Amino acid sequence: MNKKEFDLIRRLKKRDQKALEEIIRLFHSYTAAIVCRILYGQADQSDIQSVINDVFFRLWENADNIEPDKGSSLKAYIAALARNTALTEKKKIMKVCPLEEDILGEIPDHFDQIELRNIILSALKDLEAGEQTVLLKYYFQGKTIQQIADESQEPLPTVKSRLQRSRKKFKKILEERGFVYES
Amino acid sequence: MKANYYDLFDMIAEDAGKFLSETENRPVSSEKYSAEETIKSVLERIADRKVIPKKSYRKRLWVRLLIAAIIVLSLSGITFAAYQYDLFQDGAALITDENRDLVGKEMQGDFSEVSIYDKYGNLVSGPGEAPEPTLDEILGDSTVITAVEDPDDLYVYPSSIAYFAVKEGRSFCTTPEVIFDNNVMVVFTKEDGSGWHLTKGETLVFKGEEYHSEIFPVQPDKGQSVGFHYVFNHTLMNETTSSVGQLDLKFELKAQEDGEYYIGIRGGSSDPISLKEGKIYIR
Repeated sequence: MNKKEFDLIRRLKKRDQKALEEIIRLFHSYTAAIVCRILYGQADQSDIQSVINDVFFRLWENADNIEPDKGSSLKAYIAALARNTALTEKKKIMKVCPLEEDILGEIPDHFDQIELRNIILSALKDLEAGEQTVLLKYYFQGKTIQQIADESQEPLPTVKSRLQRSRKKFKKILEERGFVYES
Repeated sequence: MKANYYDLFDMIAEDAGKFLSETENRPVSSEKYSAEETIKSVLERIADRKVIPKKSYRKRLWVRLLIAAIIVLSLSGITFAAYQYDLFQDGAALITDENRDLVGKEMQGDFSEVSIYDKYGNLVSGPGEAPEPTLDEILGDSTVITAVEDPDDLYVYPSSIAYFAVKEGRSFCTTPEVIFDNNVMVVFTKEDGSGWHLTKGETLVFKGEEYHSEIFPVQPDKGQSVGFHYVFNHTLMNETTSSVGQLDLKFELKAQEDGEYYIGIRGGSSDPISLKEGKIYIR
């Protein structure tokens, strides 16, 4: 953590609102980009603004829990906060219940999170555009097959079978990339 | 950790959103959100927080203990070191080198502010019983707990709530050593204040251990009573279980719905309870 961030946190812990304002100005675009991407297509402008507000309010509320001597940057802390706040909002919007075909299995606890994310991302990039879209709309945005079919103006059975194929292909690529799980 | 496709795509949430926006040729436009607007809204929210009156915790605690009896003023109790102020002000604290001497101790107090009542229950001298905190005072401006499931169920209310962040690890989170008093609830959060996101059927598990208290001098295996509570989507739920007489603590919470969950532990003993580092994980 650099000296400026250290000082901002120190002032934040002392409830200095000017410090909070400076932090918001410094990291607002970054935070907004994270929230907008995570809530893409699922929340309107006022909901997204509300989530952005939540991020900085929670930063203020939890200032005492930030440990500046731990080494990670304030930017990384805010990114994690933004991510979690946006994901919480997304889960409230989505309210999905995974079915059996949606479950992969048990990921061993020792699996590194960064490695896992890289595997998932590279597997996704190996799919065709249509396959990426159907998986993302179904699993990331929580849309129904009917909604996806309406948006793409395709028959329902076509979308359904594309989803099944894409899921199978995605799973195979994940396994080839070293994604390990116990079914 | 059980994984489903929803979880996998959440792990790459930002990239997923970016992918979709590029596929649909609709760029993600975050420029329309202004920092000044955010500053204004956040500062208003901070200003809207209710002012919580300073609690005279020490007074309240000791009046509660002595209310059923008439006590004669005499002794001076053990004076507490400067750090003990946090335990007495908030009812809970992290255990550090500065207050470790309180771990497992029976609390002695300052009797100089005791209240004396006559046989009719009228206050004769002393400050009298402090008013019970209202629900708003207990919840304060917390963003973790913003409501209770049944506001009329007074049993659910602790006298105060303290939040402690865990240390996040790969497969489990480590809860810190804490000391907390009777009817005070300790709630564990992640480092950024968020809770544990569970899908229906997943179980959140807490495992911990109490330090043995000197109030059980001849029962080395006996623990003090605690109540386990949980918070679901920022609401403190009514359902509660207890651990009575055990040093080893275990609480399992099976999610009936998808959502964000926190575990709370409430002191149920007349004296402070001290917990060693524990674990929270999702099964």
